[in-house]
Amino acid sequence: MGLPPVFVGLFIFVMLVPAGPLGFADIIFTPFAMILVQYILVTPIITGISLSAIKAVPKSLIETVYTLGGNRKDALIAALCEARFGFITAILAGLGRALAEVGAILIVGGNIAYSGSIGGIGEGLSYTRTLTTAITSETSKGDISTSIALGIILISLNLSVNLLANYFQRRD
Amino acid sequence: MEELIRIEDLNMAFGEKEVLKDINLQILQSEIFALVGPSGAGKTTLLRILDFFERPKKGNLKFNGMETSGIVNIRRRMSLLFQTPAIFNRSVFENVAYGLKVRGIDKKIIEKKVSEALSIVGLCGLENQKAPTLSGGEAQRMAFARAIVYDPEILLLDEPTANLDPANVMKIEDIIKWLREEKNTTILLATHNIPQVRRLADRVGILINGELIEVNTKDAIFKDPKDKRSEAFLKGEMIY
Repeated sequence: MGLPPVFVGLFIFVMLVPAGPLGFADIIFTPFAMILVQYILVTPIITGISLSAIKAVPKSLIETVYTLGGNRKDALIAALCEARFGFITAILAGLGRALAEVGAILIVGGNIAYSGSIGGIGEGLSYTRTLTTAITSETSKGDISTSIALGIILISLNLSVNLLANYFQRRD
Repeated sequence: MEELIRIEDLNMAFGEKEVLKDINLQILQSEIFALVGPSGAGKTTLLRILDFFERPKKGNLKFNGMETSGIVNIRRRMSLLFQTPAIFNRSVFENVAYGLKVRGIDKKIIEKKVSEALSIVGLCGLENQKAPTLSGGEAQRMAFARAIVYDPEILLLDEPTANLDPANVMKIEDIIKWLREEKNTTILLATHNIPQVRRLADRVGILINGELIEVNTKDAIFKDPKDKRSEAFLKGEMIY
């Protein structure tokens, strides 16, 4: 269901560098490139879970729609409504996956943060630096306390998303 | 009584297996017709053909006096209730209101009709309960309410009381009788429950191995069955 993130990152990098086939777009090392690679990585996960949710809608339920006078459109809407918790779970699983991503976004985003402050706040404001890539760079710099602090934020976010996903899975 | 459905020379097969053979049958208006036979006889298939879920291999279906300009139009004047009802993962109200909503009925009328249907099946006060949390008997009664809320002319019932306790069986049977008496609904009941046939049916058709071997009034068929297989089945003897 999932693709190897580092490979996807490398592939998109090769596509987007100035000498690459999509180099004219000039989006390498920008948030847009990171969004693109995240999109490619999470789409199969969201699609897979959503498909399973749709397939889990019993045939008898669709037949019931027809027996009650519904048409194809009503049957489609009913199937989508029945699978709604599966869709929410899929989106949350994708979000959890995207939050935890490091390799691919590091390659295409470049982990860029501005030096200095803007308006007296935000020393080292992020451009393409995320929680995960910041942890890797802070750790490599030896600033373990910052890494741990960022790690706690990241794990809290991830746990919250997983808890929500579990809640909707149970309701399904 | 006027004829409402006419089935002529109907044949049905799944692959090589013939499941219905030369069925000829008339269902009359406002009657309770019991289609009786052992499991696997073809009762469910016949009901599914009548509700357009299966296309017969051969034969004709005529819905006299009913709109025939499209399957949806005919279907909207019928209702098929499955042995195990499929329940929408929503409230009891939304489940029962479904058939009215797809017909574009006004909200206020929907509320009134749903309330009436729930009172008929004895589920008043459960409107806001999540339907999947209902007991088996309650779920079947809710499915009944859902099937009758838009006053169908024909009600196709596939083993509606299988797996229910006697109290719920009695309630469902009361609803069936009430529908026929008060709403003049034509009811086609597929069952292998002989005592239930005695309690409810006006006419009976015996379906064994895909063949409709005998059709007659309830009294005639129980008193003097013309076919030995009918006699054996009605007496409760096993038929293979």
